Amino acid sequence: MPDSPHAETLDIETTQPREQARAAVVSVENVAVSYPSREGVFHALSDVSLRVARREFISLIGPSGCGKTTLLRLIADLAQPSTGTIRVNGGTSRQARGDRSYGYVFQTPALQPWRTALANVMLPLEIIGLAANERRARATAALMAVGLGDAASRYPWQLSGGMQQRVSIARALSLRPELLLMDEPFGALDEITRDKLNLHLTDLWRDRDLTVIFVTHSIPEAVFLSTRIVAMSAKPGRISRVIDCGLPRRRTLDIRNTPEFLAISKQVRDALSDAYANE
Amino acid sequence: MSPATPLAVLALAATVGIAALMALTRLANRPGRAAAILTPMLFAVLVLFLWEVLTRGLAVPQVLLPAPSVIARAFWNASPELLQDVRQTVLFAAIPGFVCGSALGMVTGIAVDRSPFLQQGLLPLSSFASVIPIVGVAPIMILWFGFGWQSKAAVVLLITFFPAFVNMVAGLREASPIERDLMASYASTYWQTLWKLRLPAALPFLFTALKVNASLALIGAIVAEFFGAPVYGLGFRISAEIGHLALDRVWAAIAVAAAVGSGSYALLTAAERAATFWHPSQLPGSDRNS
Repeated sequence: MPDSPHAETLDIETTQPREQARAAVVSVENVAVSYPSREGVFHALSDVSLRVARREFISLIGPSGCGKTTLLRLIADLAQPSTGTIRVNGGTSRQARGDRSYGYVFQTPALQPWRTALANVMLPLEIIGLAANERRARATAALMAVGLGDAASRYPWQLSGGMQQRVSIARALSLRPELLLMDEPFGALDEITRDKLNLHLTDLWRDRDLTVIFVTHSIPEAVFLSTRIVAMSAKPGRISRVIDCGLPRRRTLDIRNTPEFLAISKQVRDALSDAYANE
Repeated sequence: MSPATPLAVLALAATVGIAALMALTRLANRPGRAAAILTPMLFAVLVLFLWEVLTRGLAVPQVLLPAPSVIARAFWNASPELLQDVRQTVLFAAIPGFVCGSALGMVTGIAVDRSPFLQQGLLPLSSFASVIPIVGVAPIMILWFGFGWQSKAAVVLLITFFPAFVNMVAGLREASPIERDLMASYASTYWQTLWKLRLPAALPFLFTALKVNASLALIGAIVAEFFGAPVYGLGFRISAEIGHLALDRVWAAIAVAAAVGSGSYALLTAAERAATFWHPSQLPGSDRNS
């Protein structure tokens, strides 16, 4: 993606000014999720608190069963906490969902096979009742933004896995949300494709002033993308450590060879090995 | 007829049959559309030919099995009546019953999916209703709705309801949890999700139901006429001509019913291909015959 002319002005330090930090996009306070299971009560999440400021890129990382997907679903109002409160854009998560204030990217592309790539991107715009020509214009722009302008008329089964996931990102972007919630979107892709999409995503995040909460299993992916990394552990699912990731906002793949990158990776790895030790 | 004649006929039929089958096998193995269309047509011609030769050569009594040429002549002579029969049985009984039964089944399927109460109450009841034999119901429908097409349409409605209903219930479960979460993330309403996700995903199931119902409707309408009908209709024709031992006319009526049945099946298959072109079973490279 070409850099926009004023991209330099966005290329500032990662530490957020105090005013912005206070106006959190997402705030999770003392949230717990538990439900009865055969072996007694299962604690999917226990006493989780997290504040996400505008233009942050947060990665949730941890072993399976640590509740990272559950936390994302709570923020998206696709699940409800047993206790605690969740605020999105200052209101409830239900209001945020009603306002279509986030875009959600799932583990699988979840494209409708009867719709072309363009028609898939237009789906949310149909739901919100946008006029047909506006739908087409916006969806075309979103497809161009993920570099799939010339695949508009192809059906999902005619696209590779990486292209399908890019269509699903375009679909999430078509609503023009400021908040993007992504649940292991690149988990099923090969390493090279994943690198390409990571680079693409970090450009989108920076150029569009997005706030992103990103679930992943991969330490390099988390360090490459994030401003903060939230390491979680299981049984009960909880936040074990939060690691600041002070890399510049403009990132290229070779940043992964810098000492800073490797140092942060080590911190994350240490935090995670503690989490896995509890298993 | 000398005793040698049947043997000669059998020998001739066997020779021609085996030779033709070998030729057809070679044709069927050839790639291309022409072979795919020609093979079944030539096979049908072969079957008719052998039927003709065997029934004539072995002097099979007409009451048991008339030759194809005899049936064709009966069809030609009786075509005005048969046309009226088709009108009565297909246009007035089978199609209205099929449309109403299928539609009612699908709407009930949606209602059951929507309401847990109906799910518990109606699902067992309807599977009970599905095993009611139509031969038992047909006389009752005639009692209720008279001898005209209305009672036949009612029978067809009853037997086409269930396949449409169960397939709608199963089809509505086709959309995955992630696809539903996606719609929920757009704050999509129940009806939007139904229309834009769950019904399209259910289409392969609905076409299965429609194809089953097309043949059920025809059978139902014909059998229902056995229990009383005005003086036309394919079922009436079959039962009346059996009484006169006019077997050529019975076979002509059966041939017409079969033609209508396979015609409607072909029509539905074409519609299915157009509507569910995206489904793995319809995509090139899937296990399709031909």
